[in-house]
Amino acid sequence: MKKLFALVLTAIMLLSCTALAEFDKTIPEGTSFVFWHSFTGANEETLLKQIAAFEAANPGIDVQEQYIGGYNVIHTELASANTAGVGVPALAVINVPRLTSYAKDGLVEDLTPYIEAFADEINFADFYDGMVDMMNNEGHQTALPFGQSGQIFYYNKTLLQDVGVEFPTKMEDMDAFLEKVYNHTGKTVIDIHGTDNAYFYCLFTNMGCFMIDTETNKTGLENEKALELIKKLREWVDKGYIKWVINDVGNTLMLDFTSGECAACLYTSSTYANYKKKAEAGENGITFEVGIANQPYGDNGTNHQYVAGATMIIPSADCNTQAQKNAAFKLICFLTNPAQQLEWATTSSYYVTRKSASTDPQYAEAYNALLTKLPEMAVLDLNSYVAKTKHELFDRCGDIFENYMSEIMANGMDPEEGWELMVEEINDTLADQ
Amino acid sequence: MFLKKKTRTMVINGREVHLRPEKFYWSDFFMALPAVLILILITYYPVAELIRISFTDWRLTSREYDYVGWKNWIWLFTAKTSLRYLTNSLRVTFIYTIGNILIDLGIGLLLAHLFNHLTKPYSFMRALIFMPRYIAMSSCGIIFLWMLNTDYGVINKMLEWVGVKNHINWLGDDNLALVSILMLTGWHGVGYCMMIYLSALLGISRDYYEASSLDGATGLQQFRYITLPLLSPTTLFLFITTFISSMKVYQSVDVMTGGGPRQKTEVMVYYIYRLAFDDNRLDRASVVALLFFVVLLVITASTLRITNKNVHYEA
Repeated sequence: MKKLFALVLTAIMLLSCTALAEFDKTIPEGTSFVFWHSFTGANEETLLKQIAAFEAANPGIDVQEQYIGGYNVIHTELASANTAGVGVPALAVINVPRLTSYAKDGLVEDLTPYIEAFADEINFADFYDGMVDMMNNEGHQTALPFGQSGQIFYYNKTLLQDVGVEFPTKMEDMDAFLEKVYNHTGKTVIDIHGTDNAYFYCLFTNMGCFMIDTETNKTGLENEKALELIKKLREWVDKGYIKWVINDVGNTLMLDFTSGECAACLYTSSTYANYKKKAEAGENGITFEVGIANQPYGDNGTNHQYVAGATMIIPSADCNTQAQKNAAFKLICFLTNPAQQLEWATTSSYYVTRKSASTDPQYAEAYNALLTKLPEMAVLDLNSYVAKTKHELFDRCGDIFENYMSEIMANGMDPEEGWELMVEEINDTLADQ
Repeated sequence: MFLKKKTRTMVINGREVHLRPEKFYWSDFFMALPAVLILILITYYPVAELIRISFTDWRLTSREYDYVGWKNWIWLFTAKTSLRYLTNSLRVTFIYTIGNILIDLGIGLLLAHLFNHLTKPYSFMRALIFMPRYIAMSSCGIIFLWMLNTDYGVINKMLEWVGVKNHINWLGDDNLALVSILMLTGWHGVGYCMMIYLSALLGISRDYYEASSLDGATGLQQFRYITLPLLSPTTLFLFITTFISSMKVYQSVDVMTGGGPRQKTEVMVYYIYRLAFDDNRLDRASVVALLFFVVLLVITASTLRITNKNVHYEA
């Protein structure tokens, strides 16, 4: 009896494994699915054009694209629809930092079986490692990169040439650079986006100070090196080298930079085309050439660059059929292929997510077109981009980090006092889970 | 008790009018039923759900949850983070509420008093003051955001013309951020209070003022001893409505400061929103929302009880 039971159990297990292995990738004629995105203006136009091309190539699939709003609106709408179990799109664009909690709560499909089933349509190994790593949660590929951006420095190339300096690639050279440019212009050298830690966090991690130490469940910012960096940044603020911008940040950075009120600024790479256009046209009084640079290396040559921006997910909700999810994945394959990515990057300044876009001769023409329009894109080494710590409280801790940094840099709080309070509050937050 | 039959009469303008006997009419019940059902559905059912969710571990992004007993309530009153943010939010909310009541009711009353004495052509100015009420708060917030920009805002430019050289960091300064929000909401709401006060002022009989003038009362004495007491029902109404709406402020904070700098403008509703939609903790947001509901209820009921004794309804 026991043997019979064991045999039956083994048979059931084998059948289950077979069923798991066989991923049903069929997409019947007339499959229609909803796609939520957050793009507007020229980006939306390019996206719609690419979707139309996809539908022309796949006449059996109908994509119902819908602009929902910014990332926060998509988050609340998606979470609400998921809770209700109705109206969940088969494909959505979300902000990268949300992904960890989505993956933890099972809101998103694991795309690994899709990647295997549609291997002839998507070359997964061709994506930049740092980008796909950021979207891998506990071994599951929960999203694929699309609309990726980084936190980069924009600088006035014309001015720096006049001064006879280059934008520093190492933190240790920053002091001399700031002093030299400031003495030449008498104005702020760098405007820093002060209300989103994503922009200045990299400076800390390149010094070995991380927001969350997952082993101790405490913040790595309690490292003395973090305090030293905070004090150094404050010193630069006090000397007038750096301006910590904390309100109406997007407008202030753009106006300061394009009007020559500062020589450089730290902001998202996705505004490169816009800044370049304004600076070259002299829209705000001066004409100059725009240069871009990655974040500077740390003490021991650490070079972490982080991706941010958007990512594409397939929600796991049952209200969409497997065929709809398959069709959605087919669209992901299409939109993330190197040819579409190059077109997308040329319009939007978002990063190209595929390595072959710059190396494969078949894309040479499109790649050259990108570099003709946005020449500095070649400066960025996308291979140096890595994944941030994936922790569901990362954003909450990041809020605390940026709040105290604003207090110290813009409101005169004592750096040591602010650092101590910040560390305490982040540790309390991590403990309170 | 409902079925008690009793014929009632009332004297109106010297005539005796017979009222319907006090008894239970099924027709009345059925006519009220749709409204009652809608009220239950959109008001009482969500409150009941909120209480239920407060005993779960429900995250916004998850469809599954377990019942966890009093865990969230214990978190609310014992965790370092909840105590830190809760006390801060309550403090900010009360400061904002007091400021907003003072601005809306104080300036509203002064403007109403002024317009009550001005001639008709000034009605255009009255309309101008009331007009912001028609504009969506989110639009007003964005306009103020530009106006209060430290480097390029028109307010700092104007201050520069009068000699204030250092640009004021309106929205980034710990002490000024809430003031900036009060400037916006005050500008938006003062016209409404002015109009309500103005209609109440027009309802006060001139006889009181004529009689007091004959007795030698000054304008200030008339305002203190006639106008203010006779406006007390209006003041109570405006106080309660402004108090409740101020305690529930959200949109202006969201647009202008996002709760910052360092939670200095994080009012209660914004804190609840942050817990629910940023941290995805619907369970914790529910307990904070329930606590806030109780606080509002207790304060409103106490205010009504205390102030009703000092309100004069005969104008």
